[in-house]
Amino acid sequence: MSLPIIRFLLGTCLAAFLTVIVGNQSYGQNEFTISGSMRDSVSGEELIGASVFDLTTKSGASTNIYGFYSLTLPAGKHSLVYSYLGFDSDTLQINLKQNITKTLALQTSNVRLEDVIIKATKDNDRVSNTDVGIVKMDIKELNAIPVLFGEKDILNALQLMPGISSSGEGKAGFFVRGGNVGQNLVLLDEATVYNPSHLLGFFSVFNSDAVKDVTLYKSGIPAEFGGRSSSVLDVHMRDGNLKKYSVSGGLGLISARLTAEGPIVKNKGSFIVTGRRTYMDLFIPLLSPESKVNQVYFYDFNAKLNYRINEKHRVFLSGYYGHDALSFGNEDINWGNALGSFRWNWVVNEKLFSNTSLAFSQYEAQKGYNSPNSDYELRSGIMDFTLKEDLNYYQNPKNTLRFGVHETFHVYSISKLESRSVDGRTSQLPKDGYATETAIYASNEQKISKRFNAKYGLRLSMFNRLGPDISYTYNAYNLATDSTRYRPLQNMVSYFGFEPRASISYAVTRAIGLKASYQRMYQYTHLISNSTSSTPNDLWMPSSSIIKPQFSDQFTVSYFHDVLHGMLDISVEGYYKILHNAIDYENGANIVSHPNVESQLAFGIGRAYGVEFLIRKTRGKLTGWIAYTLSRTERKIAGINNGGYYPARQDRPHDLAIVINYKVAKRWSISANWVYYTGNAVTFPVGYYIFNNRSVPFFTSKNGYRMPDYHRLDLGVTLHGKENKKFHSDWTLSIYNVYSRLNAYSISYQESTTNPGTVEAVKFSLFPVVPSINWSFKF
Amino acid sequence: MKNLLLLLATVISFISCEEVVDINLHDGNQQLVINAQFAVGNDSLSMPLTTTGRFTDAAGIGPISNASIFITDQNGNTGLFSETTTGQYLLVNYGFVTGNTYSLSATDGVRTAHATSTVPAKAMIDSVQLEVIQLSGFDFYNVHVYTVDPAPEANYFRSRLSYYHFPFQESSNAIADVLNTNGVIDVPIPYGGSFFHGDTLTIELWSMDEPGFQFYRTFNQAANSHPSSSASPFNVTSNVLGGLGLFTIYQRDEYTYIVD
Repeated sequence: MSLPIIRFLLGTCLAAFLTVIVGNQSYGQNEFTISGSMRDSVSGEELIGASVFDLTTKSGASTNIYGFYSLTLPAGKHSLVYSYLGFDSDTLQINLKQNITKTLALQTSNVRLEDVIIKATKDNDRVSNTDVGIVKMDIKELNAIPVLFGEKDILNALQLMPGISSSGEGKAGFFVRGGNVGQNLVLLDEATVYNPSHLLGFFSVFNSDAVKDVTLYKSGIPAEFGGRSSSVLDVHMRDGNLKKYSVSGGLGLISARLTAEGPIVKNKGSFIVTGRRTYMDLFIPLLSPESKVNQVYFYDFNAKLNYRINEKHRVFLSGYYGHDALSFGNEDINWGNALGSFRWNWVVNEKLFSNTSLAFSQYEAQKGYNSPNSDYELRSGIMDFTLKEDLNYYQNPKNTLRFGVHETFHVYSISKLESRSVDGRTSQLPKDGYATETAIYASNEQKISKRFNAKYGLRLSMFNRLGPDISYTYNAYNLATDSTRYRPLQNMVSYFGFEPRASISYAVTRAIGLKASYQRMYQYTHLISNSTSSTPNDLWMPSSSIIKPQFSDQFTVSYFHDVLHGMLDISVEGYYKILHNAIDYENGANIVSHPNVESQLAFGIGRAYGVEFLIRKTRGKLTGWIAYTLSRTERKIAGINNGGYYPARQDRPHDLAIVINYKVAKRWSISANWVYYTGNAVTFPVGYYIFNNRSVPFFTSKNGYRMPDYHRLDLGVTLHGKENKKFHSDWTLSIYNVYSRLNAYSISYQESTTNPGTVEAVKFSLFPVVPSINWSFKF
Repeated sequence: MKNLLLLLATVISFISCEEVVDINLHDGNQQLVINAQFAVGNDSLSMPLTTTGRFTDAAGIGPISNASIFITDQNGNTGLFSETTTGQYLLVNYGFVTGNTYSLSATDGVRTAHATSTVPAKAMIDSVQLEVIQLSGFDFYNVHVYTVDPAPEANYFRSRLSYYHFPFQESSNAIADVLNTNGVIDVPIPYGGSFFHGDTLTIELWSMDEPGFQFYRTFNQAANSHPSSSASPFNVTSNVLGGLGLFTIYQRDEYTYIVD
């Protein structure tokens, strides 16, 4: 069956499904729908995951990511409670005789924020909902966590949760349940972020001043997400204050940030603009005039406009641009993301909500060397153009359907090398790739009974690699032996993914819930790295006749216990994940500027399994959590380690985080983190021999050694400015790595300077104790 | 990348650091290392037998004395090596036949290593060409060695260069011709030196078996490398069971080239 026919059939199925849904707007006996949105009364921002609950029928609904809700009830009198964490609840008495639209603005609660940290739609929603392996980060909670240089960072905070690991100090990206950094889908307002790190992982691209909602899916990934085999990090920007103008910002040890927001048309449209820049490079010439440092900085901007045309239509325009630059002597490296999205919300009717998104995403990295006699520049990157149509259909209080279609056109700049010698000769190694990625999905969230809920769905994905390009066949020695040339837009190879998703939950009691989930995730774009850690120059490559799509099957079971009505949460989750077509590197692989990178790759399977424990106190003066993960992550690749299982680089058997926040007084709070994790798996030599007058190291098992275990303690103290003042500011003093543990970034072997003829292991550490002070303001 | 990271950390904190640490490498088990590379037609077969040493201080590395080493062909004809100097062993008047398979076994009484090699067909050097590369104002030369690969089997080659009485360079150019096309192939020697008019170059072409090719394909990447810097630290592909190194029997052709 040809590609256009498959696309046509998929589109026809969706259209037919849509017609049935919209066309059969039949209601049960005397049922009507109340729908609308819920907003913050101060800023006008939509509230995500807010709850509307009918005390009469004991049924309810939650707002979606755009603040929209829909609840179908029998005709008659109802008492509806609108609630959202951190806000005063509002009760509405209605006599339902027809479909009505009701938009509510909730007032911020007088209860201290620290008393209500965890989001919950009702007091036992976390017990009964089908969220399995889903982490929702509260931005207010983020501000209490002490971090490096006092810079609040979403990714650093997420890594304190079970199952989510840092890839290491100075290393970009994060691991989720044994997946590598390239197996996480990161979204910012529907646009894909290919490198979510600044300055080699010290900071993320997310300015917490601009972020409204952060959700990380470790498992239980809804059918609307796809394209990566491990996790999804979905980040949404704030819309901007619809009612009044405000400016906020901060000044820290190494960076400054500024945010401005306000109404374009009061209560109808608003804007928000944020920016950050580091400034340590400005001091280098002053501190060390002879320094060879040329550049070391990053900056980024976020901007968003939104306008509510009427109660049924709303449009959003978001953008992000970030740039990092490092250069020393003749070497330099630059990288950055550029994102843009346009979204159109349409409340088709009281039960059907539509979001249409047009998104652009570009990531570029450049590494260069410049000298009078010669220079080279190596470029790589990826660019996406995406169109999405997502629909939410609130069929009745027991069934919420989600379905849609996504289409992405990828342009890959796999490796562009330009070099110049003294006689002006140049050489180029261009390698571009093109592909389309299509997905159609449908899912239903169903309240089967009072105790039993389920979410199930199916995602069908399709990937087409297109010309112009050349496809190679390789022999056993990875030498190209044959090639086929393809014309522009000619199909080179196609892959099809069948991705079922399912989650179930059973409320054993009002306080105890059992949950389980299964998902299959396909990944067609792969991150290829040449080093033992992720770097900005890692390559994003498409699937091909050689590189098959990776796909994972993950099973999760979960126990959740709500103790003392939300005062304390206890959860235990076990998971087992199988990764098919896992990618590793041939022995001696050289990825940098190789004309055929795919010939350097080896393929096999992977598995990851573990148990995650989380105990969390969410109210009172003392809050915080203890998160512990016991896990293994392994690979089995033909030709490596004699074909047996070996630890993956990101294997982390033990990972522990303890986070404590304490409200000492009205304006003073202190916080502490202690983190511990097993060192990364590495391959060290066990000896060497002499052959042809050259020394040759030899190794035993792949990744058979461990870097030293990592642990550190961070402390922070915050003085909060007086409330109800026009100008508000906070001062935060934090100490990173209080006991100055010299955690290993890398270990390398060098000839000893004190004992010639011997080789010694040298550990390179990044940060001993680092104090910092940070000032934040808002007016 | 590590330099840039060091720079970044230093600029940010002025306090990143390096220190020597102890890593227990579990390097107690030493292995035998065989370096048995024999050219067809040589009357004397000489090979060292050594042992591996600890990575950090080379403790234990060195020649093995009083070992028993013998070579046997597929028909059971055996040659026994005798030790001439410490760790160096010699066998004389043992001929090799093209197409035959030979087994080498070495034991020090405690450890035994074993390998096999099949004698390939001989390929002759057809011609040699120099390619000039200009870089930073200097001329460097690649030496292209052309040969016609013997069909129908897969062939494996290696070339080396000697001039000005310097010994043959150990270049990184093992080539596999698995297409069996009986065509002309290039076995280049990428050489960073400069030649002058009238220089005499001696070029050597090896026709090897596959284990020899696999060894040299990985040898120059692994030798003298920094183990922690690679994406995938790996062992040189060895055909020695119970040990390390290489046993290969090769055909040799030599060619003299006068630089214009």
